[in-house]
Amino acid sequence: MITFAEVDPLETLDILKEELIAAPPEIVFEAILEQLGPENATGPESPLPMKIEPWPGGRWFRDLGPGLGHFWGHIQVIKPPVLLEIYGPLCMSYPSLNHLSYRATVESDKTRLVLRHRAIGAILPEHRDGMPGGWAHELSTIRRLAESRVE
Amino acid sequence: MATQDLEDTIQSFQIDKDIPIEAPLDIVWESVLAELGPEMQMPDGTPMPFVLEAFPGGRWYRDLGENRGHLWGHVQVIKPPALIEIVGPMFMSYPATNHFQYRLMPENNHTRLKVLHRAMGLIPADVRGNAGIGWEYGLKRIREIAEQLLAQRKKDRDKP
Repeated sequence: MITFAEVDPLETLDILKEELIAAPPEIVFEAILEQLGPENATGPESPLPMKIEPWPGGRWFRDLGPGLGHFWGHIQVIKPPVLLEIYGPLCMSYPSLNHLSYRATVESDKTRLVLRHRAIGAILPEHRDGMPGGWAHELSTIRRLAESRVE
Repeated sequence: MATQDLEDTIQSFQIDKDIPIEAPLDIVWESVLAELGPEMQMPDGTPMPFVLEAFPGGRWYRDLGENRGHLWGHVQVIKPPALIEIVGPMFMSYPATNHFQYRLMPENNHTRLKVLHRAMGLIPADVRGNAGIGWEYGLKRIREIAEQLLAQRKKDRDKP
């Protein structure tokens, strides 16, 4: 059966956040991969461990056991310790395009980490409203992980 | 931090080009894979070698060593020596998707090579305006590679 319907107008999403982290970029990059992997969470009490394959085209996915899971994206660019880009559906179970970038720059003896998430699609209000808080939590996790390694 | 002048509305473009190449299908196919892979160059002639995993779902990417690099797409369709399609972000570090295909057709005593590239996303105006330049160069490169391969094959065949 084919159902034709008018789709919701396509929308765009642009979230930009940054964090100054008291750690060198190499440590920050390790923390990014850890946060995107086993330390992933959507909030303080909401762990959501993921797997990331750290190479060009590597998968970022929720592994629920043999043959089960959720695919969130592929690595588009990986240049440790300065840049990581991911593209894919992320959590959106509807037609959308997402691009996520983490860019690290040295600032004195610290690292400034800039996260940018841009998307187009029929983006649900709960995603539009909830994602800024989710990314803020993720950046604070990266800072905690990185700074704990230099203490 | 460098920022791009992104569109805030969804844009699209389509590039459709074709050329005749004085070589048989199999040689042109080999040349297409070479140009998408180790023989790839930027339009100014600077080498920009890529890796193409020539099977369905295979990656097309710039390998910078030690697991670093840029993924430009995945092979969507591969039917040697007639068709290859690739889908992916290409060089676009923003929400966008690309689809391109090389289609090869025998024509009299040569091969017609067609490229069709379509994209949509938050694509800046300069990218939309310049997208055709790379394809023109790519087609020219494929023709050069095919001519070189053909000459080499003839030379090998004529060896005593």
